[in-house]
Amino acid sequence: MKLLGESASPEYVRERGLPLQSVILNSDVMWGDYSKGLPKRLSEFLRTCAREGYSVILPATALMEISRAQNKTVADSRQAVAQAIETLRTHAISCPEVDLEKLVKDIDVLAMMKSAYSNVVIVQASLEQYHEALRRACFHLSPQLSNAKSDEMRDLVIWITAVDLAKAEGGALLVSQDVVHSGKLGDEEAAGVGLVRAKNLDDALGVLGLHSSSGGLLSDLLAPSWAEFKKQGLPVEEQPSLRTVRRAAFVQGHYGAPGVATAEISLSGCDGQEIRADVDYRAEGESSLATVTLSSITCGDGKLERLAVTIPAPRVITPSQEHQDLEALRTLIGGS
Amino acid sequence: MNLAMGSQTFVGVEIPLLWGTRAVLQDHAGKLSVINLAGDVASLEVLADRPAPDISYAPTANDAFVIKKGEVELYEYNPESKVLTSASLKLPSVQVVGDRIQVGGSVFSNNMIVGAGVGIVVTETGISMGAPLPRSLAVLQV
Repeated sequence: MKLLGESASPEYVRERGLPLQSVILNSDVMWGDYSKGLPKRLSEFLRTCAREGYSVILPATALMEISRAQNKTVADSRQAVAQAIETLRTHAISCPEVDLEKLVKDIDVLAMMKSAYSNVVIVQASLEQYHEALRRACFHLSPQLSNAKSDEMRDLVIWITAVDLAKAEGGALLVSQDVVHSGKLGDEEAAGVGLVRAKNLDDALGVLGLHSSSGGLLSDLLAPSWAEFKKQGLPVEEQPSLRTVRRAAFVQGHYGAPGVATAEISLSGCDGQEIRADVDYRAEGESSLATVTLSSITCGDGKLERLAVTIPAPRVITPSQEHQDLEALRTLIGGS
Repeated sequence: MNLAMGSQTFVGVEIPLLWGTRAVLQDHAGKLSVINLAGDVASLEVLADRPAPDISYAPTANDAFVIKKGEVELYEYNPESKVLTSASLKLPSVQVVGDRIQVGGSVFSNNMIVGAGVGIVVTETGISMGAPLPRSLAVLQV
């Protein structure tokens, strides 16, 4: 099997008969407040996957981690109520009997997910997978760092599960921030089985070629650049749509708009061929201009030199509004 | 400082709401700002409901955004609901709206806190009111 690496687009994967139907979630991308239901960003991610036909795989280890966190939240809340009641009674203030378990209900993350989304599947690691994770943990083998202070057993169980799933299905997407899962030590093994990795839910949507918040923001920033890139020889329409957006990163600039934006992107060229590039957007200080640079450009089987254009930089708020906001905060801190 | 925030009245406090190491303030228009006081120098992270200049962030659904440090997601702020949600800070969520400050499942409403270092302190292990100013924090300034 040809090595895929991390930058495989869904189209690339599908053209070569590699389905990429499963998205595996680690607990560290499922953070949020579950007291009122699934966190909105997670819920929208699950809904999008369901709509597009992707299975969402939750390793049992990840489910246990997230359940442990929720159990602690519930226990802390119940303890707070119990202490409050005791304090009131200590001061001879009458307080009705309270059923703590009814007042602060258990949070069942799995039930929340499965009741709303039928595409969520729990995968329990096999004994062989536990043994392999234990072997790598004890000998500090990759993808664990050789100098890791702890043996990262849970992360290795999830890694082995993801690798085996990708092997069985011909490809899978693992969404995890953990360095064991996303670090370079796992590159070769991941590439060998078609395991694509993303560090957060938004990046995962970008890998799958679906609309993501980062993709939307990047699209808006780059919109004025394509006509200029076309003049420089990039074979694109004047208003192309981004197909995939990976590893998008933003640093806020002035006037409520990004000052820096970087990502790995793909889009369709004029002749239908896929164009891939690294994009770097930089606003020029407080001016109204930005420089957009495309590098590592591939177009079908061809390559292009680095291209750079200057475009108008957007402003979400006026300079005076930004100044007023900062001065108002300074007054709040320093004044009365 | 003296200010009214989330129906609480803070008089002569240094920091009205401390979320972990982050001071949370609300201006007269109801917009939140978040200043990280960990380390030697205060770092402005959220300014009037937007990511502050030079801060790494990622947009999420419905105009919310996640503040990041490198590639690590720290917390999400939703300007519409005025909710701060921890991603990796291990803190309960905090909401500051007109009639209350809500921390996890606890609701604070119409309290007055006078002369304390910190009005409401939120840590991994609990919540307290009228606490002294933690010594290890940077001076609150922007």
